[in-house]
Amino acid sequence: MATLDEDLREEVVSLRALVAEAQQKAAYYQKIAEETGRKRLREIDQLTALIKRHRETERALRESELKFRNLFDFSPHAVAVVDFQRGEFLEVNDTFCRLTRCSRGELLGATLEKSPLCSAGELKAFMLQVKGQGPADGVKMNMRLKDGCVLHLLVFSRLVHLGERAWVVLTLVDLTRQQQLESKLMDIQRMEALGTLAGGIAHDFNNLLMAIQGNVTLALLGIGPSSPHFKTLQRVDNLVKSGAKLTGRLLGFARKGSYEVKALDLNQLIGNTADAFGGARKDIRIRKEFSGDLASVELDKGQMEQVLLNLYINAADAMPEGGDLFLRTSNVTHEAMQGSAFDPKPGDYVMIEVTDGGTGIDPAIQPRIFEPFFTTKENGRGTGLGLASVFGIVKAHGGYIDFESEVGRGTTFRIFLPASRKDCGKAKSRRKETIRRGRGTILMVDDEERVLSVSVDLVKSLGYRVLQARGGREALELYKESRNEVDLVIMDMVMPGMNGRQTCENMKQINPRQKILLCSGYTPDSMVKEMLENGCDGFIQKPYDLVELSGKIEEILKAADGPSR
Amino acid sequence: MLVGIGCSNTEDAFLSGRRAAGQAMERGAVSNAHCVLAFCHGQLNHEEFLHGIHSLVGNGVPVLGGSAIGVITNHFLSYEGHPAAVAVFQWEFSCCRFEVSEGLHLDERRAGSQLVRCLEPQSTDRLMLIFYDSIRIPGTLSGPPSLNASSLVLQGIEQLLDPRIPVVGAGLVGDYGFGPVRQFCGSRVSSQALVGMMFSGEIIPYCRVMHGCTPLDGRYHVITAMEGSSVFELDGRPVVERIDEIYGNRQWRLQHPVNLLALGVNHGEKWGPAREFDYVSRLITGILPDGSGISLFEPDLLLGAEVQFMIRDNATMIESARKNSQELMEAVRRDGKRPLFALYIDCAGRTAACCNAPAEEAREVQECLNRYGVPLLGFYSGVEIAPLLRRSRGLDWTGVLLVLAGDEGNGNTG
Ligand SMILES: Nc1ncnc2c1ncn2[C@@H]1O[C@H](COP(=O)(O)OP(=O)(O)O)[C@@H](O)[C@H]1O
Repeated sequence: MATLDEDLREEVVSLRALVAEAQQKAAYYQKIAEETGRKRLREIDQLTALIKRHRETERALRESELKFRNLFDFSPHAVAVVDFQRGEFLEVNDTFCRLTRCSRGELLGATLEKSPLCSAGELKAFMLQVKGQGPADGVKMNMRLKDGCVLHLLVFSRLVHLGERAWVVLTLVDLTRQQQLESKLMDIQRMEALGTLAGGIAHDFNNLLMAIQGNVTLALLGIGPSSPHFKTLQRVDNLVKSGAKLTGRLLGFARKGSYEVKALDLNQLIGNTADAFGGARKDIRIRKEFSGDLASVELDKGQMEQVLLNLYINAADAMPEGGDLFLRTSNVTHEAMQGSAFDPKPGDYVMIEVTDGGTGIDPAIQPRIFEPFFTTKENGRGTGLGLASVFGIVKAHGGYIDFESEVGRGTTFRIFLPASRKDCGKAKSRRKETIRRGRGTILMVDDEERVLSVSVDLVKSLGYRVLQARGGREALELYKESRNEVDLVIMDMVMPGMNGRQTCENMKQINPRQKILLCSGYTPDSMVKEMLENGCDGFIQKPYDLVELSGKIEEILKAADGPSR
Repeated sequence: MLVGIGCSNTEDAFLSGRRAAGQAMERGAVSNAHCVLAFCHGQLNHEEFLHGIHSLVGNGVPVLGGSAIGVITNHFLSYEGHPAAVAVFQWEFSCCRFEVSEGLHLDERRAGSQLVRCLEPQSTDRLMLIFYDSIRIPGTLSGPPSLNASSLVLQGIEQLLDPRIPVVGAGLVGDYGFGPVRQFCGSRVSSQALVGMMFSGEIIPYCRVMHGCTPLDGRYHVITAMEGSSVFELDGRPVVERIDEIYGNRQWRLQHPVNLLALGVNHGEKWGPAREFDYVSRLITGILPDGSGISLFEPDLLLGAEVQFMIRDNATMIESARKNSQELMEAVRRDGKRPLFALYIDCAGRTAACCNAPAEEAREVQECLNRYGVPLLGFYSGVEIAPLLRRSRGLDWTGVLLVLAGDEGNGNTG
């Protein structure tokens, strides 16, 4: 029993030990399992966090790529990425394709030499420079395209290293259009210089003509029609008059002549001139497309007629076999002139378009057509002053002129004139064609001896008493003494020392109601306008003839406000 | 049976429906459609989408399905934008009927039994396919969504349905925000419905469940405090503390649902080797707002139940998808049957974006079915329903692949 007991007890003890060991083992494995499980979870957790971050980076990268892709694609400048070693195009944007007139397919993968860009050699040479001289910031370069067009470019480049590889990022800024505008601008500036020059010559020349005409008129008055010299002198008189017309056109170009400014209905003016022109040139069909509610424009009617006629004549000359001449008017704003060389004052404009289907103007001579004396017409047919005066007159009216022409297809001249809010007044009555004699005392002021003496004689011949002064100061002295006698002052505006304007102002201080007739061959129209507004009574353009002068004098003296004394 | 699959991803719902249906008719050479299965993203206008489909297949053709987070076809997989996919069927002889049971949110069990009653089970029935609205009350900024329970729906069905008829299906979810779900119920669009399709006759269903969870450490825990779908304690200790310990930090508390950890019940041998098809896992939707416990996707665990922590892992998931789809197709072959159509009901938590996986697990399914030339329609769901361990169950975090097969030489796939 005892041994059995013993045995059992021993067995129980060993079993207990086994159970304890098994429990320990279980606890041990459980612990290991738990730890392994946790470790696995944490590793997967970290891994997924990593993948998540990776995804986020990927997304950010995609977004960034999209952003830069847009920046690249929609850049207004042409951008290309070129493999530096191999000289191959890796990327080009739309602007690059448009500028170079090559498709993306033609460029990508092609080397610079083999690409359809003709003078890519220049680009390559340039890129080689990049390595030696570092990045280029705005190097000027010309590139001839496959269609022969030459682009004027500003080139920027950067060498970008990425590991072993090097890329050149090329940015081309197209200056072609800008340069065209610049050269147009230079043309305009050159014309302005020419204008000043022409104005000066015209002034001197006018004075000469003035003297000749005056003397001839005096001679004619003196001898009467029975004299054998009467006809000769009359011919001289006529020649002087056509000479004056020529200087008139030159002055038009020099923009020294628009004074009688009134608000006018351009449609009517264009219609009238066109009808007159069409009557003379039956082979030209005139097509009018006028805006119904065209704004009025303040302008000098005579000068505007000159502008229109010059354009019609040129158009007709460009269509020797006859053809259609389109005349259009419309209301526009300064925005219609966007992209042209001039920088228009903001506001409303009236646009006149004169379009012919003629020969067109060769691009080579386009920059020169507004130059005075530039003509392609055979001797005797053209003076080269037509467009020059058109240009000057338009400018003088605060307007702009531009043209578009294609050889073989025709030409359109476009004139923009500032619109006026004033109503169009009735056209003024034609000037009187007879010499008007009168009575009264006239003070004549001119610094040019020759002009003064002949003018004095002319005025005297009209029946007036004449006082004369050879300059502003002298005139003022004389005026102070005899102010009560002087009915009218005829004042030259351009004088050394005290000029016409100052003299007038001084006289007006003495007698604010003094009547003054301004005259000049060459005066900035703005000044004339201003003086007329400040109380001067009229203006007469030199050289004037007796009819014109007598008419003006009579008009002023008879004006409503009675005697000025 | 002729089947064609079509897909689309456009905001224009009408166009989307029309395009997908058109594609399906063309691919399946379907001239006279009898039925359409359709799934589209919750954001898409479902009425317009339905009009689009009807404009091509004809107004009388029933369309079944509804919202889905994403769709899968043989060559298309998307859960971004406005994905949509349809399968258009033409049968030689009628092999399918459908019924709709409304008022799911009022009583899931009643809706389940009522559906079976309407379907009038017959001896030739082979498979019941169900789609129900998962969302009872949509999630808001202030609170999580309230869900309709699959376990209750299944209890209702089991009351009247022959247990030999497998039930396969899905609880639908239309977007990751758990917004309202819309369902296609034949000729109209509805919500809070249970839609059932009964397949009968020559159709033979094959079904496989793809898992993705494995036991974390093999330890069993007893649920000692719980209520509904909320679990408070395991082994008498706060469950939240336990999970903190396992993670080694509290980051998981910010996750809804919890990324890597689930609870699982082993229906196999307790100490035997862990086999994936012995487990039913429950997703942890997140920590309770007051921090007293965790909430599960389904309320079907009971007090005193023995559970294990399960770890979700991408490698296991992808491997399971590959293995199970291949095995399923081999089984069809072995039986000398001809696969006609595959439906893949995939948990929305299994997308690569959701679980930060390097690849889509559904690609494995696509590849396998493409190898066998079987038309595939799939969608991302909230809950998957499939027979597991002798009963149909609501599952989480699984993919359920259903293949309808016919006798070899009987019926053509077009
Ligand atoms: N409408 C036109 N079509 C073609 N060429 C024109 C036209 N207008 C002007 N030109 C060119 O511009 C030149 C200068 O014109 P212009 O200054 O008017 O002088 P002119 O008419 O006396 O030659 C003309 O000789 C002609 O070559």
